[in-house]
Amino acid sequence: MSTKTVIPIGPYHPLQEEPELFKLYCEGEIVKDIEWETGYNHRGIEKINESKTFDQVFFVVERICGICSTSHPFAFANAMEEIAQTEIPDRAKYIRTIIGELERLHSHLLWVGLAGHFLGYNTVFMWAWKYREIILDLFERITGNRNNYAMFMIGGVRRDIPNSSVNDIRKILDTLKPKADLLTGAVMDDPVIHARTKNVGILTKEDIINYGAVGPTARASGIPIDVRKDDPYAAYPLVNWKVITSEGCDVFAKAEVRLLEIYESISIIEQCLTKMEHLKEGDIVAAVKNIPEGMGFGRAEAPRGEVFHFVKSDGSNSPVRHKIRAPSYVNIATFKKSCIGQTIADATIILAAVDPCYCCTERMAFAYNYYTRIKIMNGLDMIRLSHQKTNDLKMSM
Amino acid sequence: MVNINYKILPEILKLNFNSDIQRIIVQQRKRLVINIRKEALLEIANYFLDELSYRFIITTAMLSDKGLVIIYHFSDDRNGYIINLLTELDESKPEIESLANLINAANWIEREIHELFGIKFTNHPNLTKLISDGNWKDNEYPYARKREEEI
Repeated sequence: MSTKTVIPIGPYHPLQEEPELFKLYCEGEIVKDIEWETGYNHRGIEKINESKTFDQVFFVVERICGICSTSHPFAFANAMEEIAQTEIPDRAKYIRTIIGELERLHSHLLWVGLAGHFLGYNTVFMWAWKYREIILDLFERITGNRNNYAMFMIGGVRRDIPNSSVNDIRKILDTLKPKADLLTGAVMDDPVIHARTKNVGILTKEDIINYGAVGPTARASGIPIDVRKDDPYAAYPLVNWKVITSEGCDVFAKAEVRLLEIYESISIIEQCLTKMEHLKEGDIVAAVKNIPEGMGFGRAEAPRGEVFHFVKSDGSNSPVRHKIRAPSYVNIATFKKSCIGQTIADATIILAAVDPCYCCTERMAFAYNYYTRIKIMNGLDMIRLSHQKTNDLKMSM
Repeated sequence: MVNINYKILPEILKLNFNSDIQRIIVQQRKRLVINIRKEALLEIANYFLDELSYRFIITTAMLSDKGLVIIYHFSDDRNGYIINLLTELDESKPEIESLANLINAANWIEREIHELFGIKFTNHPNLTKLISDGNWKDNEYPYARKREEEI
């Protein structure tokens, strides 16, 4: 009889930040099945919003996620403006786009850093997070906050980006480009990273369609879906950019897509700054008198994929129903396909590859024998296992 | 892969499903809300997923003035349409066919709606609790309360 061991990762993810629990069912070193449990931090935000006014909902949805804190207000604003049938001023469109893309930059850098750490490349981790600070400082300068920028409102944005600061923002972005080159070069050319991530955690096109996966997870499997292109909003149809895809389907492809998207984001921001300069300062909000009865379907492309907000209003000042679908909800479910048949050491990077969006900084993980209930491994051990595999590869090359 | 403009889609749907379609509202910005008969859900969803290659976004359950309503959101990523299949459920015995066997993306959200609204999805492969396992009474559905009951 073979001994099947259950390795629970959680109730807090060892390195990422949400309370959740993965149960890996292993035979020897191979993952045979995976289960997921969540709800440790279910805040009932959809229900809370029914008792908030539309203006207050922005502040609640901004706090759904600490990393992509603009994507939810973005999708909610799109839904509300659909109900109110409002066209926002051009300057507000550019500012929204700039904030959205800056967020994508810092989120992708954060992921690259984490992925590096998972693989035992702490230099990549330190670099990526250091370069991310440049973006956060820029956010602080534009919005007053490093996170939770509170920039969105129905009909436009709350704060203007003065034309006098455009040149400074450009200079800051210019300093980021060589650093992105450095990082991309380090990841793309390293034979050990290739060995650890290529042909690992494969998600075929069929898997992506069946699980409804979105964002870089889908684009890394050759499916060119991107809400910014498919259902254009804000200033995305007004600037030139392309959707990055890869046919690799593995963890490496997901890294490649994210790294190349960094360049697209920089280009989008630069174009927006140039176009915004020619518009009148201060014209950033369209007056919305009331929200009529109706249904709004808003979406936005967050760094992790499509965020979907459904709002039903009845003519009062708060929603009757507000449904939120974050991209990780569909992306996490693909673990069922990508982890099976892989080793435990690889499972750590596969679980991180879809960039699951979490909201807590607690860390805890155990591995225990299914029959004896004796703890055999914890979260740090698992990361150590991953590091060891990288080191073994380095030695053998 | 069939690619149909959303403006002529209502005609085609009426042609294909006739009595199963009760009402179609064409909203601004490429949005369609289609009221369907509950029994025809599987067939119509299959038409969107298989023949038109739409992507399943999510399912929403909601208590509206008409009672318990369930909405299935689909996306046409080639054209940016969002198609919504809306159907009303019997509040005393809310039950509807599960889409989980048709598309895996519907699995989790149906489990979530089951525990929050008490809607039973027939033929679901694993209709257990997703988010409140062990933390909430079995026959109490937190999102299915009406506003006046909460106060």
